[in-house]
Amino acid sequence: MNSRTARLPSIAWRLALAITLILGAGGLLITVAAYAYGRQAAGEAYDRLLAGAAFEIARSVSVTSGSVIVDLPTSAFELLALAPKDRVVYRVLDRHGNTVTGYDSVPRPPQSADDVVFYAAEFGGETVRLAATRRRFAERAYSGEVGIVVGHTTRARTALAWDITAKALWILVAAGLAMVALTVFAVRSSLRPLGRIEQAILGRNPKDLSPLCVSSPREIETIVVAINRFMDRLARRVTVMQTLIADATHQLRTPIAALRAQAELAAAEENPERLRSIVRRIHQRTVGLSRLADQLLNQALIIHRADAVEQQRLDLRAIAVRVAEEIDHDLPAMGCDLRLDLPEDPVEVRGDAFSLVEAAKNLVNNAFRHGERPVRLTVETIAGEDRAGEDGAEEDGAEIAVTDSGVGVPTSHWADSGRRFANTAGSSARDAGLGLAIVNAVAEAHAGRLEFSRTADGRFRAALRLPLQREPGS
Amino acid sequence: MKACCRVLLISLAMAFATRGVLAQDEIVTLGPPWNEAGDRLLIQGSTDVEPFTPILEAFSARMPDLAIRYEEILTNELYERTRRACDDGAAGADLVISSAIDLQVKLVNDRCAQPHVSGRTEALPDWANWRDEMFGITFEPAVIVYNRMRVPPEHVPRSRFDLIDLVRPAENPYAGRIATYDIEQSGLGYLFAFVDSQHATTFGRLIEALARNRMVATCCSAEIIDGVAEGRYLLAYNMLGSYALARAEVDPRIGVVAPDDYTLILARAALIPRWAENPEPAKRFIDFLLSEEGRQQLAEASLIVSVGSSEEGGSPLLSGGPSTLHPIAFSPALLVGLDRQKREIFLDLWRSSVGGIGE
Amino acid sequence: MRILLVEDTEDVAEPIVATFSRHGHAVDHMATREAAEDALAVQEYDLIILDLMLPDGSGLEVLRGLRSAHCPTPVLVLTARFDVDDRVDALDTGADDYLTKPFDLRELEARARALIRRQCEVRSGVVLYGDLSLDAAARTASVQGAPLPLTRREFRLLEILLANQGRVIPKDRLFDKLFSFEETDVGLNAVELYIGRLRRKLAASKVSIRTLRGLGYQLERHE
Repeated sequence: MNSRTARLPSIAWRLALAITLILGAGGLLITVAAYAYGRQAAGEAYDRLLAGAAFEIARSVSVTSGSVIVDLPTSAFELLALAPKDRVVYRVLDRHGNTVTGYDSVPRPPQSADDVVFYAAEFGGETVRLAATRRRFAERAYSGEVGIVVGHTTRARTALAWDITAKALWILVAAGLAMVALTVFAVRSSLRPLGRIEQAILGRNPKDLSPLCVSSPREIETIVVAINRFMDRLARRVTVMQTLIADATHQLRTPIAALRAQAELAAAEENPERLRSIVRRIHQRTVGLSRLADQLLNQALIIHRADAVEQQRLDLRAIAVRVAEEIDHDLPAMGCDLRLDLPEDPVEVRGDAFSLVEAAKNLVNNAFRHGERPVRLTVETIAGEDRAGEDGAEEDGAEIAVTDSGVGVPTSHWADSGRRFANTAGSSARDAGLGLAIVNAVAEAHAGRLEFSRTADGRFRAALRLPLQREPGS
Repeated sequence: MKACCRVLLISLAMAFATRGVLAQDEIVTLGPPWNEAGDRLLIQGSTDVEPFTPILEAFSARMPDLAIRYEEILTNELYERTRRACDDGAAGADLVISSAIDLQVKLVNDRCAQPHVSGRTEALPDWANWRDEMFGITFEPAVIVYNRMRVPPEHVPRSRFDLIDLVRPAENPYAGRIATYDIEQSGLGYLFAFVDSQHATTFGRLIEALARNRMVATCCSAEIIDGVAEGRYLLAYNMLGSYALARAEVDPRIGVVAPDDYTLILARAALIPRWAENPEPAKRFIDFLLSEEGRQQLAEASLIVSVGSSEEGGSPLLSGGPSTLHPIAFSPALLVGLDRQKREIFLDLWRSSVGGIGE
Repeated sequence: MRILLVEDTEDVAEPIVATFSRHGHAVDHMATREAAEDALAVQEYDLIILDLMLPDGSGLEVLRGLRSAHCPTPVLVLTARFDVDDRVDALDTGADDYLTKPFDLRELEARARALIRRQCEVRSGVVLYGDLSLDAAARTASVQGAPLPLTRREFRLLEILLANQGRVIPKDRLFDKLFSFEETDVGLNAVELYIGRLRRKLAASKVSIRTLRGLGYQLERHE
């Protein structure tokens, strides 16, 4: 009946995809960061080169008779040549800003108090990074600063920055691939318990509903627990059904045996008078058997519904009304005697209408058959009360109750009302027992209970008590 | 006509004639006629036409449809022309080959060259390839040339130390008989001397020793080697090996030795100017020069001197082994020598030691 | 009496035919829906006993057809024991009574008799409830002997309540009984209106009308 459920993509693949996306995004960020770092690191490294060359040149500056002499050290340029592909510029300025030697077109450095100041300029179409330093002279003939500017193009540092970035990228890619592979592996291995569960289930006898014993991690455990709970419910239902069938077979055996015997007798009887009386007895038996079958079926249906049918919000008064309607129909001679006492406001409970109607009908039928008129069917709300010796306060309850003026069930039997008569069949007193067994079963299925009591004016009261559902908002 | 006028006229005529002869010697054209050709390659260089022509011919044989024109120009003027073309954004030569590698470095540093990358250029050692814009195509040692007749074998200086020891005695036959390039005039001489000065202690002692012996600083490889051959000079220091070797092959009076404390190696630098009109044939020529055939041609012109043992085909000249070789690297460090103040300081030093132009 | 029995199980039908025949009624026995509909087309009956589970359809269909043709013949429906929905549907569609299988023949007889009697009965007799007395024929009512002035509709309402004394009648069932189809512009609140009026008129008596919220109305008497 179920349409084919869609097959979701493999967890391993989904995870791998998710991780790839995350790694991709993260990787992009890291690449950007790596490049930024690479640029900074490379820039700092080559700036130091520039600064070194500038200082070396600065050291070789001297002042003779008021004029600045620069004995350019080759070592300074060899330092600069460490950036192999870069072009070099330099300029030495006197205190008036005139060129002592070098390239005139090198721009003057910006004002700064630092030892070395770095700045940039355009040279022949390429950006050039410049380092400038100063040397103070306090000679009689020359008092002032000499500025030394050294610069080079940025190819080497850019190459280094990319090199750092590339290496970071390689590591990233390797790590990423490793992570994805690990994830796939981890997922596969962590899902292996599912395989074991599959084997365990497939391997067992189809009739075997005992709990699974598969060691599994906490996350998979929930599935195992769910499967076990499911199988447990199934097992219970199977057991119940088996019990019902066994029960029914057992209970039906005697009346059916009796019936057969009587019929056989009838078949052999010649005397019309005796024959008539035998046939009368047969008729009685069949009526009794019919009623027994009804009750067994009722019980089975209620038990089935307790497990299978979803409980819904309903008004207990509506149940009472239906009970009254059906009783009116079934027992027309007695119908008018059933008084219906209902409150004006709804009394909400959670349950299965059919089961509740059957249970209440059982109570009413018992009252009419074994009790005394007048019989009243009531619905009430009962406030919760503290029960001494029981844990916690009781919640508010709803009751559907039948009262009559008869003797009722003896007080000594009040404690285990249902169970007592569960396994009996056939006669009217036992009918009552079976009926009560059904009411008990319904009570249990509704998280309630069957209660017997005496009212203030001495009437016998049989009530089915259920938890009251508060209306939302009240 | 008056005698003086005639002399003047003849001198002028000679001057112009010489000019014409010189003009003829300085230019080589190969392949289809220059003015009509579609594919052209204009090379300007400082190498003498005579040793360079066979190389050009070998290349032309490979590219018969290419019109090639080679102009021999002195290094300084070569620099000026290329600089002007670069600054003006005009097309000048398509390829510039110069032994003044410091000037070539300056051109490249000032963004006047364009890059060329090929399998061959990438195979060059780092010192012979700067920024893929400047390529070292020869391998020429700076040598000591001596007169084999007059200088006894045991006197032949194998190293600078030997040279210093040789001229130490107060009365020695080499006083006044040692020549070298006038570094104020010769760019190459200046370069060699400047690089020498990087080896500070040796240089100081050498210059002091040579100056004490009244070393003659004069012009031109040809003249100096002639002088050595004729015996006017007994030793010539820091001569360009290619020229000396070529002469030594034909003249038994010339001996050549490379100092084994360190031997400076010069690689002439080829660059393609930034605004060159025909860069493609220029690139092709560079690759040719770096190829097997090209190198063979250059070696035959003594422009490439092989390193290694004699079994490996190495020249006996450089038998000291690779550790003694000091190639002058293409690097911004060469700019230092060009610096106006630095040059002044260095020349002052030179002048104060060695003195001015000799006889 | 002419009785139509629609029942496919032979073992069940035979005794029914025999019993009614014994009592002097004429019984037509049909085993399929088609046969039943054919019979109904040509013959008028005093009572129809209808099994819901027929081999060629549902007895409900027969009933529906019957009622939409405005045929007032009383129908007694035979249903399976636990089929609540079927039973409710049958009553809603217009069945007059029902019996669940298996049933006592005597009960069937009794109910059949009651149904026929109801048909024959003229609405006569006085009904007493508490201190209220209602004369159906004269269409009058009185409380403790004093006449109760009631409009036609109020009387009808009281009549219905009395017929269902002690039981809870939903508002819409009251509506169906009080108003006919043609009165389309009347809403359910009309019922509330009449209940209100009746309640006021009964204020003095021991009989009262209770409103059970969400369920309906119940006629009650006090001591």
